[in-house]
Amino acid sequence: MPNPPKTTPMNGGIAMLIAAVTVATIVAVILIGRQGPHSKSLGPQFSYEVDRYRHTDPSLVKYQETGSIQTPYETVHGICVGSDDSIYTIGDRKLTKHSPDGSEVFTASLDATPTCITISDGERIAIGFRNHIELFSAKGKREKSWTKAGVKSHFTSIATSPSAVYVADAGKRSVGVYDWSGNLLQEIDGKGVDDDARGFVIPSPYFDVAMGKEGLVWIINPGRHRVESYTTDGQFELSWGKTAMKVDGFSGCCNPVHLAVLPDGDFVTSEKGLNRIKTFAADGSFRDVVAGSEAFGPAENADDIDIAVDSKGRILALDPWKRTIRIFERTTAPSR
Amino acid sequence: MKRPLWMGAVIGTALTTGRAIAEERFPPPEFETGYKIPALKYPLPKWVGMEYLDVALLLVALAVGTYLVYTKRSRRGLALLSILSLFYFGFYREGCVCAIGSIQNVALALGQTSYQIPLHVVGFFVLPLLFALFFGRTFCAAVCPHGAIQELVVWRPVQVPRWLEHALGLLAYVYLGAAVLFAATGTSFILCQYDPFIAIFRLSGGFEMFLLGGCFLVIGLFVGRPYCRFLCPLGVLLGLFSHVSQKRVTIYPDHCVQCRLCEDSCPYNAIREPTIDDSHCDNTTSRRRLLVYLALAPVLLLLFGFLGSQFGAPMARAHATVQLQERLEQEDRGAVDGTTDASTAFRDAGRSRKELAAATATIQRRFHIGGWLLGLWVGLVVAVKLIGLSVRRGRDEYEADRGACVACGRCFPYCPADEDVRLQALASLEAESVEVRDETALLE
Amino acid sequence: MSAPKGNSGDRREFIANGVRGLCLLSLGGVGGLLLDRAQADDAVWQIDPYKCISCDRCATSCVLDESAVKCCHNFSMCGYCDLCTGYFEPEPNALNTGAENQLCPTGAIQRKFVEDPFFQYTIDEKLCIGCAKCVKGCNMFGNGSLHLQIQRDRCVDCNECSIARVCPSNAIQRIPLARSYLPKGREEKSS
Repeated sequence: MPNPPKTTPMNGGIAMLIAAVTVATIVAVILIGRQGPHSKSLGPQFSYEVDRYRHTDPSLVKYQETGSIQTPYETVHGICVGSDDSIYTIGDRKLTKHSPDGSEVFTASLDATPTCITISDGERIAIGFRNHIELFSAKGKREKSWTKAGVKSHFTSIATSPSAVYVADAGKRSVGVYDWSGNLLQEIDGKGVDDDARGFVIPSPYFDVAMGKEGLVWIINPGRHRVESYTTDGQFELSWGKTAMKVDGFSGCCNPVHLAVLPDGDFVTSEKGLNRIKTFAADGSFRDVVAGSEAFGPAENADDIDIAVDSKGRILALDPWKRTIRIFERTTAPSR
Repeated sequence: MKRPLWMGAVIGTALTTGRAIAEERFPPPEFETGYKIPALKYPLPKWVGMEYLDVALLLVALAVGTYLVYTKRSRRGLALLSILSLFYFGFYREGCVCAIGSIQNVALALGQTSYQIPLHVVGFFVLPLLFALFFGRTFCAAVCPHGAIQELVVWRPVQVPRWLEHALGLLAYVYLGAAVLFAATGTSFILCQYDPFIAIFRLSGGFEMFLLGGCFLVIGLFVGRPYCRFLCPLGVLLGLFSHVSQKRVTIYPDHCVQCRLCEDSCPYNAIREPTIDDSHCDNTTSRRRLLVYLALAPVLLLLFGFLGSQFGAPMARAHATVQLQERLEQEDRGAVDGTTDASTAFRDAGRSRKELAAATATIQRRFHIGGWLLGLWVGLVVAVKLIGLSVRRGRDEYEADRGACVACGRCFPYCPADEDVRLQALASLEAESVEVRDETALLE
Repeated sequence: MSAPKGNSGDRREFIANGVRGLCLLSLGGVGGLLLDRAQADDAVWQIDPYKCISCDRCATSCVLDESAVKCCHNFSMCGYCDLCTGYFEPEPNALNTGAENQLCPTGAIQRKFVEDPFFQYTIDEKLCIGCAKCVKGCNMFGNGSLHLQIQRDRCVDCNECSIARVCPSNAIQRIPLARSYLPKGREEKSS
């Protein structure tokens, strides 16, 4: 083995070289130090862009926010409005009633986490849980409870008529029709509509039902981006709705998620993802925007905005981010 | 103790809200064609025992290295071992976890009770130090891949002027202090971030990482082991420990014949020549200087401590939590346009500003204290260095500096006291004389 | 060798022995303390899918040129949508496998018909670069069954994960090796 090289005194040339390389080292160190979160970035084709749909044409927005009511919840679950315009909300494991002017009337605690709420003309509150229904008096006193759920049941919406309670079961993909004592009268599974053997397509626990003005039951078929109507005995009547990111359609994989009916029979829908609240005429043609997705946020965590309508046609949206009831009123008279 | 946010859940429970759980329970579509939903499959993890194998191999390498340094005194063996270490710990295991980096894990474990240090990292930290305490820096000699790669590129070593060597040597102490501070506060592992050779070991990384590694290697052609001597924080600890090691590297097997041959063999300036006995004239001045330095030491400590504390706040800004807090404040004031991903994520998650502010205050307080400690540490190092320089220690023979010697064994083959060296020298002398004789014979 | 020299040598030896003893003791102390805190189990880096905000840093900041982070699909969370927002561009021309309709820049998602109206989406890990584009689409509109995770066969277990250093939502954390993965979805509950 050859002996190792001998150490020599430093000469000018080598000293210069070492100094130069040392400078390069320091440059490298500074470069590494500045290597912040934005040091490297993928091209625009690698980012998911829906911002252009997030901006709503202001001429389409015919409503403005006129007030808001803070809810006492960590997580909000649902909202409905009584015939006297009192506001009932559920959140966490609580039921709260607010008077129309926004003051809190009462808060009642619930045994489980609720998923949906509605109030009948006779002022009975029906609250849906994942797999059972409870009925309350208008004062918040529990009167009745029934469990008629299957293993897969996941109740997501509830609507009432004087004779029946309609419970949307996203897990079973059907709407159960019950009498007020809790007896299951029939199930609407949506099969056979437009030669569609599948029925309701529900990829996620969002499945809404609402009572229309002419005694029809309106059910959202979110996977088909469609709102369908049935007679009280389960016969399919008609449907409307189209798939589109654009403002007149329903966006994403499965929308809308909530439905409410205005006093004049028009519809209000709420979408998740692109959080938009819009109104549609009774025949399903697009009318106007209540609030675009810039009014809510962030959309990244797909949260839904439950909606309700009071007797004056005000639209109440339950904002899950701010945990408030946001009230929208029409700025111009509806043009027909 | 307040956990920093990024350490939030070491044994994280991923489930968040009730809503998320409800979604998970939501039944998938009912398939009518008998379609079976595939299970969620992640690729299988690597073999668990690898880390423990690493610790075992580290122990073996240390033992073999020690044997080669002290029993075999074999430069060739050490070179071979360093090549093996470079390939296994460097290129095969991609340089991670390494003993240098383990300092930070230890600092983090001591600074933050929520961090559970992996067992094998403890092994990587303790074993080299333990060996240093008994046998000097045998870890540096041939086990550390960082040392090995620099050891192998030494080409035309030059003598770094003594004063520069002393000054640059202080850098490593500062680097050690800073690394401990940043790790203990849960800020970042700066040793890993600025590791010059990791990109080379991995054969991947950013341009600047390769530039850094390349620069160190180019400098290493002329200045032996620049990282080890002037930056390596583990080298500091190992050097301190080997000052009191039970065994020490000796250049000569029995006794020094003062032939001075070894002096040029060391590329690391680690061989000290015998002192000339001139004590009668120099003693009073050096003694006075020592006294001055001793008196100056507390002042130095305080001065550096104060300086360090002034750096506390800027250093705290390296912590992600502090950055986030400052960014949010700027956004609130309208001092900056737009938002960052971090600030958006924070707001979207709906986390409490009060908690963030409290966490920030805790981190800033720790950096203030840490700044003082870092300053005191640097002051102490400077003071000890000055005192050390003014204390003259008598040497009769050529000696390897206990702290600086990395036990590479380069001086072994130069020492004529070594039997093999003697035999070799004799052989070459004989050959020469034979040649000379032949030549004279030819001439005649 | 003169006598005083020998004395000072002895003294030095004695001090060195003492200091060494102290060092050994303190090393033992620190070692013991660490062992007490240490976990026999290793810690590995994983993404908490519920904290992930689907930025592109996993694709760009890993020390590996091809990131150790890739997209994973929890089929049991999937809605099997025809219009999958993780697969299709926001406004696709048609719901088919045409390249111009696909969201994934590297074409790493395969769409397979199951039965009307359901489709199965599978990640081709060889093509996936972990850019999270599909994850964002899936989380925004759908169930979030697509998610990023650090692949344990690829991750080199850096002492400090270089993605964790730049993660805006602190979603990357050390978890005990026994868990291996921090999965998204119901499997989490059963484990």
